[in-house]
Amino acid sequence: MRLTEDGQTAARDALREIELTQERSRAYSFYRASAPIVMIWGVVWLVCNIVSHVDDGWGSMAWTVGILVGVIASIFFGWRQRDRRPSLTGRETPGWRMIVLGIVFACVLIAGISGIAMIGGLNQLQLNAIISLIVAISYITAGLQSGWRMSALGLVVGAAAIIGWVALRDIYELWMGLFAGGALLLGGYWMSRS
Amino acid sequence: MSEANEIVHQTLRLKILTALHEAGQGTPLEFTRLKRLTGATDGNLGRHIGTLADAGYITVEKDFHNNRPRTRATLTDTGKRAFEDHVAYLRSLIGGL
Repeated sequence: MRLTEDGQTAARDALREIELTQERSRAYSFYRASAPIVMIWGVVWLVCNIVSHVDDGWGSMAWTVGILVGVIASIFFGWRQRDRRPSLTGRETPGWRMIVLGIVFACVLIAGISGIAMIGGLNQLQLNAIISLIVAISYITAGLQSGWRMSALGLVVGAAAIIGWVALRDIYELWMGLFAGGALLLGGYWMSRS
Repeated sequence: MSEANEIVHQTLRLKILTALHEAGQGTPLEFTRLKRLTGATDGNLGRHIGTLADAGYITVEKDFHNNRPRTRATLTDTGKRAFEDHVAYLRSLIGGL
């Protein structure tokens, strides 16, 4: 076939369509791989925030167990997705992305908590608000790379943290448990339906 | 050098094959998911899935899942080769000038 300008344009358009469909496929795969992890964190937030609202002492214990369960579950589901979706093309699979994301997320969380602990002088409520914002920013950042639904979820969690801090400080943990935890649960379900 | 494949080159069929290729060979995709990934209407998608199945590029399986009818498409070896050859052809056009 003779190579013409038209042929080249048509080829470029076709390759662009392929690229767009690949991006959409990867975003949907990412949503499905992320859905159980997001829902587990939703349960952790729901339970731990409500326990913290009822009793500070039990709340600290609940968060220690909750974060541990969340991190282990994130690694487990990321690993399971990797097993289900072997890469035929040599590209990174969503499962691997989830494992990396989980590890980065855990590191950010641990670094954040350690940093705040070193600074000191913060009460449990302030610590909760700062960690909630770190989580929201992590979701927004992950979404920018992998799919807008994750960013939308991060924005909802971030907005909940700010609104709760400004307007509902007396019931901040209850608010975050019900609203942000609920948003993560619903958001995870939304992603699982993609 | 690879050659143009008119069956693969049609825009919607190219999107269908891309989505199935991304899912991985042997991994079926449901009709509803293909619809979301390609942005096609039911009728249009059904017609082009038929064309690809007739060419032997995909297999179509119809069954019931949770008491609801389900249609799933899977990329065949022939389909994978045809898709990859066509992509190589498109790239050769871009790089050939």
